Amino acid sequence: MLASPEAEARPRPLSSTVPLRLELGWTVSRHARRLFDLALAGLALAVVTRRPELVAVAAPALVLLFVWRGPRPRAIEVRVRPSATRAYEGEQIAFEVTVSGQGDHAVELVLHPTDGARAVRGADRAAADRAAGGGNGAGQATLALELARWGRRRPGSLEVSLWDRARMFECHTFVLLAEVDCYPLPARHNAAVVRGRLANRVGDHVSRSSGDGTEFSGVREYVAGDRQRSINWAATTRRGRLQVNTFAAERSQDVVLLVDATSDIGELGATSVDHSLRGALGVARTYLDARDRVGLVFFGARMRWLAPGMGERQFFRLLDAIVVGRAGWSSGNDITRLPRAALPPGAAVIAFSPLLDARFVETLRDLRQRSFAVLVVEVLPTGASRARRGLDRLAERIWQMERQAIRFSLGELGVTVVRWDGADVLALPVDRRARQGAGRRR
Amino acid sequence: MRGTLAVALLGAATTVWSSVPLGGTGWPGGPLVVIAALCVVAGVVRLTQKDRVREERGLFAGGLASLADWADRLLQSLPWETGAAISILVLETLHRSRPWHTGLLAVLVVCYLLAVNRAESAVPSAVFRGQARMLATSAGLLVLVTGVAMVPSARTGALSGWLDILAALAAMAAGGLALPV
Repeated sequence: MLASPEAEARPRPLSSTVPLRLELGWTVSRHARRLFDLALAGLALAVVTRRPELVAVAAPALVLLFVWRGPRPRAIEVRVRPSATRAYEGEQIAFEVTVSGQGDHAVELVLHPTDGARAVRGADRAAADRAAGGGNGAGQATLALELARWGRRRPGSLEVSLWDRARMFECHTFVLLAEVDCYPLPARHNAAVVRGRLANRVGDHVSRSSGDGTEFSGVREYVAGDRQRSINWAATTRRGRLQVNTFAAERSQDVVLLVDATSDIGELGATSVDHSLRGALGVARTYLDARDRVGLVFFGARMRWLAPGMGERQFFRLLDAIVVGRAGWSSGNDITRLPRAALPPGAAVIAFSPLLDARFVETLRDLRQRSFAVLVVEVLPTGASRARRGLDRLAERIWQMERQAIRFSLGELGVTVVRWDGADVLALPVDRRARQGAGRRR
Repeated sequence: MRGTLAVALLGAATTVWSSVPLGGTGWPGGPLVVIAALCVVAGVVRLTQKDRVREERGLFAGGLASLADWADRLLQSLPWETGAAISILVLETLHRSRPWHTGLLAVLVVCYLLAVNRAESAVPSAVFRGQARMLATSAGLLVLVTGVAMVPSARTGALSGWLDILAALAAMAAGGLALPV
């Protein structure tokens, strides 16, 4: 779920990029136990059956077990250096592991991913290579993990195993990997919904009023003060009076992304909140590229918000607000309690919701009645129908009709509802509505 | 992969070597061969599955998935190679005494366990070269003990078998103490 505001105050755990001294506890290895069992079985069978040749079976095992000895290190130093501390879902992070103080013992490294990360086949285990370790006896290996789900977490642990040369003694020790911020992968989206009236701020969207943009809007008669370079000589010749070209003003808009976190439905990694955040980030990317101001409001047990801003920095603020929880917050989930900075008047509101919570539907109605242009992206991961029996099918049908009624009532208010399953390109459903405008007039 | 293949071949060779001739083992011979073969196969499967990336299961995994997880845990935790070695030795004792055959079987079993040891690790084989001298001396000891066992017993009666075992143990201890390790 979303990070709480208290998470911000919590100190980040120490990174494991500094060398970590690990005390070793040696035990008899699996191989030694097998040899011991073989020797014991050989001797026991020799005694029971009174056949001396079975002692020969025990001989090599006993020699290997009792003759082998050698000094074993009591501690080693391990340094784990991640290739990145921030990544998007599905990206891989490489960990460069350096082990020193192991002497001539063999070192094997295995990465164990935790919940939210995946092992990369062929890159999750390796032997520490002395040749790559810098020549001072240290061993080095590079392992990799794939981040599967967004959130701030330790992606896994590193198992460091040491064996003596005969593999009679072994020790296993674990190192927790440093925390990594995994951001939701922004959905692919490139269709910006532009409202009819835009704020009086320079941007990339063509507005209806004339201004100093580059989009041609018409021709009018010259008045004193007009620039000479805008004279349309063809029209002037035709009409016999000086005519000038007029251009549409280019303005930016405020966009507030409203994420419904009241309910989280679906399979792990593909829940409604996961889809909402991926969609919201995709939309944010599009609007920020168009020099719009984008803000974020989480609608959950309590409201959390990030005031609209513009530029690349705002995109990373949004990511941090999602993963770390660096955002303002207010108790309760009443949209009217939001400060004016969080929800500027006239902003376009794009809501991502499974539309399961009545309070959120009421909030959408409230926003529309306060003249906000509202577009709802429905992200309920329903999948194929599983109803087999007649009663189940009837219940499902009633539920579908109730949802249809919600969509209809929102549509009557001028709130556009589009569906998105989280897999397709988000541009497809939004693009159709972009031409109609986000909020139709009643 | 080559290590696992070596384990499979050595396991099969050991089982076959201990079971021939199958007719001379009586009724327990058949089940023991099956048990030994099953243990060898399970051990090979364990080695092939050891590096498999485990899929992340949801909180409420289905019955089939839970069963697969349980089987996987069982496969990884049970000492299959030990089971194979012991059943092979028991199978050998069911035959009449044949010291040179048993000696060769001992070589095969130890090679099988060493191959398992090698296949279990991602560490390069160069690391294990240090124990080559020890392996050679233990092979010599094995030949010595087998030779002692092949010497025909001079005495008859209840104690003759025990004395032969004592002689073999003494030869092994003496050889072990004389090792230049």
